[in-house]
Amino acid sequence: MSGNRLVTLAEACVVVIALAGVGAVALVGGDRGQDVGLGHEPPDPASVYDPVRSGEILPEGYRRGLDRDQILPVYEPVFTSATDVAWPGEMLVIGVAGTDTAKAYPVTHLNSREMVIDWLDGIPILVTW
Amino acid sequence: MVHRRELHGRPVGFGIQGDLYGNAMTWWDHDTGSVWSQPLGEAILGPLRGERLELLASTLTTWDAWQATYPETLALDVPGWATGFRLNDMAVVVDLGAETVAYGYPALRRAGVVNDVVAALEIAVVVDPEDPDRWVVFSRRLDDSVVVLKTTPEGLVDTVSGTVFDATVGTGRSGSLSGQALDRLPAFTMFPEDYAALFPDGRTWP
Repeated sequence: MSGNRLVTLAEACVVVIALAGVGAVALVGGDRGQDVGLGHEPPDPASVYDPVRSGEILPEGYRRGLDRDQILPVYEPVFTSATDVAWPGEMLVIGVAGTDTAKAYPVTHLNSREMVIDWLDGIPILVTW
Repeated sequence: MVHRRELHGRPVGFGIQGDLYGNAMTWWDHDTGSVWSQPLGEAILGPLRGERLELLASTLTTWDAWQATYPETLALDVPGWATGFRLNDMAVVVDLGAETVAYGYPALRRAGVVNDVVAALEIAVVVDPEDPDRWVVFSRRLDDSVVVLKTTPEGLVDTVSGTVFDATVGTGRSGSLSGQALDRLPAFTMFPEDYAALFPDGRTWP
């Protein structure tokens, strides 16, 4: 376990407060008015520092695998209404709800893509599986 | 899991590092290339090592149960098919930093409600009595009281005050605390074997 991870009640409740306040953020946060996605081309992974390839000492339990973005995240997700998808009812989804918006991400899709870069009511979010 | 991808007030882009740490996925951030552990939400290598993202409240549930709660939900516009595993194969994990607890879903489903204290915070892990695929973690602290919850045919009931709460969103429906709402806390699901690898000091309920 890493250190310095003490979370107080106040911090634990920040989520709820933050989600309660997103309406205000969306109204006043002009620079956060984006609805979905990264909003620009992702950087070339080779152009950004990589501590693993650069030889930083890896922590115990760290195992090398694929190259960066060899599994490509969903950088620009597209959404539709619940009535427009034909998903089986028993399929598992990751669900997240803000003040104004709720979004569902099917686990079957995340099994192959693993990450969605998104926004929820003006808050930049990272959905991972 | 759903994290707030923001550091010091700025949105941050992330990608998939492709390595495993504690048998779980790793990310790289587009700004510095630091490598992050998904379940910890923390940079473990690179310039941002030690920084954490805020974990947001989200759930893993069936499409039926999610739609029933949020009929206006947006849906990622992709095909979907039956999942090869079920919630019963997983554990709900509450990680409050100073203490981490995993609640195996089959036992959780049988219990209905687990009133617990994690990192000195009174919490309840609740499976909706109307739909065993819906779960949520609440703080049990209200303005001037701490509730002790159980499921009854009427809903989620505080055994101290008799207040009935909505088991999904936490609002008080009737009783002396009906003007108040239980706060949802962030939690996530993991396979039990991955939990043991990544949180060796973590507690397991029951």
